[in-house]
Amino acid sequence: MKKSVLLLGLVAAMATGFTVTSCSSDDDFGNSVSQTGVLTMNFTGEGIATYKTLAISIKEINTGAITEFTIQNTNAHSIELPFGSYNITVNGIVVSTDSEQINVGATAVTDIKVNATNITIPLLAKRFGNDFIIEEVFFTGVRTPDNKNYNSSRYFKITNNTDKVLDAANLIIGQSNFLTTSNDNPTPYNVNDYFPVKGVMVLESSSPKLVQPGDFIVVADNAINHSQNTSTAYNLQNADWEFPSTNPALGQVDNPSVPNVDVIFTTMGFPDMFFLHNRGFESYVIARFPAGENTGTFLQNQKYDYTYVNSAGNVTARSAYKIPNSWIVDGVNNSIPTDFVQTLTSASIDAGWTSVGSMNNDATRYGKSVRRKVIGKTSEGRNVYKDTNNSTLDFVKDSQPSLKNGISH
Amino acid sequence: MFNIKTSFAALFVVCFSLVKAQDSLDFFNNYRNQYSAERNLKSQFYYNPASMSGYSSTSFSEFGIGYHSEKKDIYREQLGAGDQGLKIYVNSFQKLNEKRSVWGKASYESLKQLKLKWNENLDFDRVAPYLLADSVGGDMKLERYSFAGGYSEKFNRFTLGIEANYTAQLGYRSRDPRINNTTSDLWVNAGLNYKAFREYEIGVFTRLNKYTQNSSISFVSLLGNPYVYQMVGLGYSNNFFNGGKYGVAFEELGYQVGAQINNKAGKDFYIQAIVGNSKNTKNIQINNPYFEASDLQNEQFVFEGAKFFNLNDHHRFGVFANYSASVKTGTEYGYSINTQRTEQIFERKAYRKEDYTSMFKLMYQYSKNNFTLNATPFFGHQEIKERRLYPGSGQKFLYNYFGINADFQQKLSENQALTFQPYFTKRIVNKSIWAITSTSNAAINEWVLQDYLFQTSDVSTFGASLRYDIKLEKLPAFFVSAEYQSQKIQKKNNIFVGASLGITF
Repeated sequence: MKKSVLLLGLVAAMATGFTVTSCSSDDDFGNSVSQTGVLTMNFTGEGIATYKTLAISIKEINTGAITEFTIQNTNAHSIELPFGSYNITVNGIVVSTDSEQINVGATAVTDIKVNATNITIPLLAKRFGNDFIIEEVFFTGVRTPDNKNYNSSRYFKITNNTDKVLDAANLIIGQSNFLTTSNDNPTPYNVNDYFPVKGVMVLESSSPKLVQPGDFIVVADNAINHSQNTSTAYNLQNADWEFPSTNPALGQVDNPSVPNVDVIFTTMGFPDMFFLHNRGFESYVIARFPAGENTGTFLQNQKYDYTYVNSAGNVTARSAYKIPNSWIVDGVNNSIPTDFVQTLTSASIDAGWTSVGSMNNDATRYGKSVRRKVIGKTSEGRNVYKDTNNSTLDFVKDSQPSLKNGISH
Repeated sequence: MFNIKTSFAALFVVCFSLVKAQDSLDFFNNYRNQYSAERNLKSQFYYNPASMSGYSSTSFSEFGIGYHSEKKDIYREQLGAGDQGLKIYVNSFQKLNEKRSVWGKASYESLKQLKLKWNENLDFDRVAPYLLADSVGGDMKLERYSFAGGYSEKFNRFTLGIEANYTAQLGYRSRDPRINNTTSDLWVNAGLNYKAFREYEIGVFTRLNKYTQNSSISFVSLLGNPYVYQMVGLGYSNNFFNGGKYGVAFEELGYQVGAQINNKAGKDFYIQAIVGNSKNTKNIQINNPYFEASDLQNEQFVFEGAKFFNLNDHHRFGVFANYSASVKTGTEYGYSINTQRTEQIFERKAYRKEDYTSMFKLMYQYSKNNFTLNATPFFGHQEIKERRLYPGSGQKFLYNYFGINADFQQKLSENQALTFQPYFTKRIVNKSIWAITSTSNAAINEWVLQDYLFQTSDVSTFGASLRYDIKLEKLPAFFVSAEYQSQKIQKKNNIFVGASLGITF
């Protein structure tokens, strides 16, 4: 009798256990799965009659999930998305009130953590300056055959993609102060007004440097035949400008027959040091001084003081410079697919980003560059390059450097 | 670690001091009591430390040193291509008198785990899927220290048992990626049995666990380093924490409570049920502060029962059944990049892994004065479901198992014995469902596919061990043993070999 009672008791206890288990093994993930909110995006812009097509890309930063779609003939769209922290990129075509088709772009960020989130996204007309474009940036550099560092031989290739002769003298190259792979939410910061820089060089020349349509100039970190130093590097001795640094750690040699750029601002510790991030976390722009502006007025008027909250929770103040967007003639954002967080240019300059390597510190990135796509040839046989101010579409990632076999016009 | 080593030595000394010289005339009977296949079958019955009072009617101890090498041609990359290394161990059960028993064990292992990839952590089953991972990995050196001790005593109709078990591990690699893992795993168990009627006992027990694993990864190569992922399951990873944040801390608290009924200390029958719950929290370091990345809750339920019959003095039968369920639910935390301070913006359940296993075994034992033959055929069924959200992805496996374990103990002479233990197991994949959503990383997709194919493969395992024991006068009994195992998966072979020697006393 007692044995039966004991057995019954245990069976009852086990039944309780089964109940607990079966309750928790429902097929769903519980109530928290319904953590979604509706994002309503309203697109605005001056003088827009029709929002013809807008290609929208929404990336959630925690999961990396990308939602992409295109809307047509509307300036508003709602979409249900899981709670998260989002980065929105827009590229499209609108028709202005004067019936002109205009390429537009925009970037925006928002958090979705409530049922409904509304965001107004101003569309910016893409600026096509009928001026130079950045055709290629070789920022990764090379390794020596025995896999040692080689700190030189990087370059910018700047091309005249117009049908008129352009003067490259006193063109400005700016290096972004921030990185595309992190966002410290600095204050103040308005990407639609200016481009903060930590390095600025001017292609100094007292005489015009005329560049024919389709032709290019090379600005090298230094203009020597690097293949004499290491077989993996390139011959850049025919570059148009160079930026050797006196930093002894870099071991760079000035080529007296090639003019040096004027590094008018740098945070690198040496007054002439302009050093490209070899993992490609930076953005670069080319700009021109407007009438009445020069190096002196730039250094006097374009100081950029900002603060941000550091990881310890303290407010940190920093000082750099900024290039007004109105001076900029072209730009390119670079990042890493696994680490991309933000673009650093206004969407009117570049609403996308390009890259070398598939991940941070990708050991295969060396000896590769980002290059613009060729969309055709001129009647003179020169390349015509794609320029929609969206480097995601305009550039070829992981490209073979065009100057691998030396500089040939 | 010093304390563990000290404890190890202390236990060894205690074991020796408690030992009474065994009568060589009883050598074989003592031997087959010490290495009872039936006791191994019901190992979960002794999760209740109060039931350890019936573990054995005599005392015994073993000290040994062993080396093994397991090399796999086909394997799950996160678990590696096998391991090899040395183990030194001592364990002892001492029946102090009719009422009191004490037991303990200590061990030290020095291992090399081979070709780990997409997992830089230790204790995969406990922390997966929230692993620190990279595409390079490599061999990992592992040192493991383990120490356990328990005591039980009878008070009238009650038997009280307490037990503590501590394991510490150090896993590291001295080339990039330089991983350093330290784990600490403490179990404190207590049980109370009540003799309700004749030799029928009802018992309750609880097992409390605290576990930590701290991991850091660094690189010194100037040639760059592989990308570090904070995995979240099925090839996906947490984009917010991926990259250069290299400090990870897992902390787990858990409990199990159980109830038992047995007759004759489990020698006639026992049934038991265990309900458990644990929560493993993963924190990731960004610069100085740690941020909570995920919680992995594990709800467990185990039922086990066994019944044994004696046909006569020579023939003994047993029927054994076990059902276990484990439901792991992962809660993940999301953070904003749009605020000045890193701010948590969501918390949601996004991962679930369910594992339901049923096992049924029959035992037959034939004993004569000079040998014991034990054969345990078994059949099992297992269902594993693994899913995650954002994006939706999942896989499911249904397995059937069958096989047999045999144990033949032969008395060679008054002071010598030989044991041969062949075994065979077959895993048959009954059904599998692939509902994996590809990631944007081709290398990860390739690994996830390989992992899936491994899990959808039939596995045939056969092996055997051979052991020889000799008892010399005025000396403890010496033994030497060797083991070989071959596992056939997808027409490839995984081989395990091991050898050990030691003393029993």
